[in-house]
Amino acid sequence: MSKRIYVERSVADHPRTRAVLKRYPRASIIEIERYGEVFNRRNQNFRLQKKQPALILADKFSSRVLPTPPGYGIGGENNFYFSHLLNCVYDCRYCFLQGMYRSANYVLFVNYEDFFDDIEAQLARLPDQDHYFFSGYDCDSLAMESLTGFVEAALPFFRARPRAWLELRTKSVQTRPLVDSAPFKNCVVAYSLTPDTVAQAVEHKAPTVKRRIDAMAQLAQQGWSIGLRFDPLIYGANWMDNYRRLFDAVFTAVPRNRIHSVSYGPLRFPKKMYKDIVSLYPDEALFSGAMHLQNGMVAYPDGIESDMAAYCSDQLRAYLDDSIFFQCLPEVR
Amino acid sequence: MKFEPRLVWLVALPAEARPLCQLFGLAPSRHPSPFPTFFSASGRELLVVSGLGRNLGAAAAMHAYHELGGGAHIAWLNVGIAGHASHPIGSAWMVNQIIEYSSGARYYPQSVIRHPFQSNNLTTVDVPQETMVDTSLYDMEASSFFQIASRLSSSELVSVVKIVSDHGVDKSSFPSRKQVGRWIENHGASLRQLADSMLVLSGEEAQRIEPVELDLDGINLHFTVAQQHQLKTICRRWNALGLPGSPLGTVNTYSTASDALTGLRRLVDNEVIDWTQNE
Repeated sequence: MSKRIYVERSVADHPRTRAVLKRYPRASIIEIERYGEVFNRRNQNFRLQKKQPALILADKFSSRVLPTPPGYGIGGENNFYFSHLLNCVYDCRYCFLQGMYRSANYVLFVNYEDFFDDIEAQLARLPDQDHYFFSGYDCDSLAMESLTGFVEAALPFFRARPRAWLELRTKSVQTRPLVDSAPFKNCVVAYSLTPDTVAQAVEHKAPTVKRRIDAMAQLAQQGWSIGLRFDPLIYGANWMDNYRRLFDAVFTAVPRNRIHSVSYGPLRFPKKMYKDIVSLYPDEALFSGAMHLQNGMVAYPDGIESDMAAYCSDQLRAYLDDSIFFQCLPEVR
Repeated sequence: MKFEPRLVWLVALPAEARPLCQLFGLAPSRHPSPFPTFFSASGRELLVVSGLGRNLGAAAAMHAYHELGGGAHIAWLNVGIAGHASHPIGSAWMVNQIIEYSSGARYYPQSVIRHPFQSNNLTTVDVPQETMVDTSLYDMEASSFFQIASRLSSSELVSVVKIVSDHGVDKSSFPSRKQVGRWIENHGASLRQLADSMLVLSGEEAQRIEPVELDLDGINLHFTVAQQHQLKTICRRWNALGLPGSPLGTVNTYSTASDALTGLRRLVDNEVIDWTQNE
């Protein structure tokens, strides 16, 4: 874990800051005013920082809960995301974070209660309606849980507010806070999945697909609602066989009645982001096959994208009801 | 031209340069130069002696950059003596925050390398500090060195290591050349380890920035500058996809540069990635 921990002066005495620092007694602690001093500065390099990311403990004082971009959701009308953590321990080559930030350092906003207050305020605006809150937008929701304790803090909050749906998006098998807690209806544990061969090639440092499926199965058995996220769909030799085998493995292990929603989406990047990512990883095969620019987004040629969506959709419909399918179409944000 | 790994050592004093040159086999440049400059036999490492102060530190960094032919892959290492209120004399520290006393500006070296040094913050002052009451190291050039070096390369490629020479004393007790030499020699192995790791990083960055060297010798077709860029992109994709040989091997079978680009692009576009080969 991080040898360097930057701490905003304003949260230096926060109990969560003290708890994190206690875990790393040998870390070099550097006091800063605002996390922007060390995060995402112009002269930083995501690829190099990924070798040894530092941890930044900070206060999120505004824009804590934001509307999701169009096309992002699992059936609800009021969709929001929040990021108590920026960046991820995994190093998935298709991840937009590597094009979004110049820094791979982790920023942990320790003022969780302020996030909850903002979620509460959002709920109060339309008290009779369901709201969906997505937590894994700028990070993996569970991968750093042993350090952050965020999910442990969030579960009682959402459990007490049935109209507030929480999506935990993850590839992690660190499910302890969920395993140790009684399940409740408005929490969806959504696993990102690609075929095993693709995962091994491009999802660096992430748990194997088999371990993810095992974790899902355990959570489902305990009564948690499971989300399946086949996003992005990645093209390659034998892609049909690979996806069919993936679906078989998932539905053999996870009872269908525990599946809350399924979403799938194409591999797409805004043009500038794609250029930045290719510049970071010019030797990456994922960015070297046929990719075309369409409407400001770089994507597989249309035939490939639509064939994959149609095939996967057909395959999944053999297992599940139409009403829980959602296509995720990223747009420039 | 393909970039090679490069490392700049920047020191303020000849007394700091001498032990480093001896330890690491750096020889004086044969060309006249505004700053004393030394090169390793391989040409990968350059040491420049800036003189005291921020202005000279910045100017010497620019000088070193041009001497090496430029490039955002160059790694930068400032080594020198510094004051501290209480750290043991002769102890070496990796700097993790630089505060420029005159402006209040703060800089953050982002070392991503495992190194044997403990870390400390540093204040860069314009006149030697006689009393030191806080926990900071004190020097006279690191802020400008870092400011310039991290504009030329990314901040992960810039490191500052300081060796404690005094606890805030008057000028009359400034350490002798011999003392400085001994302190630096004592940390020679650790500095070498750091320098080698930085050269590896520099090499990775060189490969990232310029992944393909386009050698058009023996190619009969004329490629414009724009077409050469397109050809480079095709070569990069070709290599990343693990296709055999080089696209340049077949260029002469096309009748024009434009046909060659179209044909080669079609070849890489039609390649379907076998993910079992890329694990």
